[in-house]
Amino acid sequence: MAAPPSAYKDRHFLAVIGDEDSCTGLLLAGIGHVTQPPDAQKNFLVVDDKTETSTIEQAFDNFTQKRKDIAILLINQHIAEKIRSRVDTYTEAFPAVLEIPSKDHPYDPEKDSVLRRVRRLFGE
Amino acid sequence: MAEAHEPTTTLPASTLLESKQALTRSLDNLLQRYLSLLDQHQKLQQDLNNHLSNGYLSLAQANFSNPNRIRYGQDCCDDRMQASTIVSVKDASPSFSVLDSVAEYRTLASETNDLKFGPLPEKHADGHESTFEEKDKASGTPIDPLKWFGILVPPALRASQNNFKSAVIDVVPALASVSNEMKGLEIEVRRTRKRLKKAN
Repeated sequence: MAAPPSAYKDRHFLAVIGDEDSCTGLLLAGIGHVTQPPDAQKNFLVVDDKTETSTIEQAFDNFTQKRKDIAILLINQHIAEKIRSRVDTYTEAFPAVLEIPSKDHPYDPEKDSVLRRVRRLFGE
Repeated sequence: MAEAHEPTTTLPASTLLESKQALTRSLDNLLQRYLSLLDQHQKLQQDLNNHLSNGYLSLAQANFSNPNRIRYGQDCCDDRMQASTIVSVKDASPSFSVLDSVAEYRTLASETNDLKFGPLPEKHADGHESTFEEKDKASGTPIDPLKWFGILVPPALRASQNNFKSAVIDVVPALASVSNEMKGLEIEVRRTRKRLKKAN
């Protein structure tokens, strides 16, 4: 790992952008964290049909760029599809972004950004 | 590269050939490692799928069997929640590991009866540690998220928690480590390919 220790030493939390069941399950696993007030920030975003794409993008930017305490970001693959360009162009090592299946949308390797990178590497 | 431009002697040509061979060998090694990581990634992703689908199924069962017809969701969650599952990142392979501080606390408390247990043995980041110490002082133990939903929760919800926990603790850190290592290797492969192109 080429990243300096300052890039990851304060990163202790998992974050999630997902539908209600994914968030509930992962919160049950104990990943949920709300920072101390007055600037209380959650480390998860529940996405439903009414959630705007801009809100998802904002949360993605917040978890990947602004917050320095997130080590791994989990995002439902069908939600990642909505902000695909952002997810595919994300190249930083920290936080690591992982695409996970949801209850209604099983994991499709064809859509995963990791597999897209593999194809790019061998297609050059 | 400096040797490659000396046209008079035969040595530079042989060194060039050797360096080309070395580069090809190292590219082969890198690609071999990359493909084995890809295989590992696919297996881990399959594991993650299994854990999560079991978790979703148990959660659906818990919701179905709930006599109050209240959905187990974020509405019941504590707005002051503190993470009990903590990631630790280190400069080694695998780089990520996840720690369940509730389980750790229980094991350690039963062994030592020491309430000032910190959940991160190897990394004591200032802000984070104080949060946990405060919580430990206040309640004595990190709060199990299952308690948000009451004392007598259905067994399906407990099963769901176990499935999600094993996904987060066993599979997610391994997957993140593999994914990051693959990213690093991709950069190295591209660099080696470029050098090989220049050498040709």
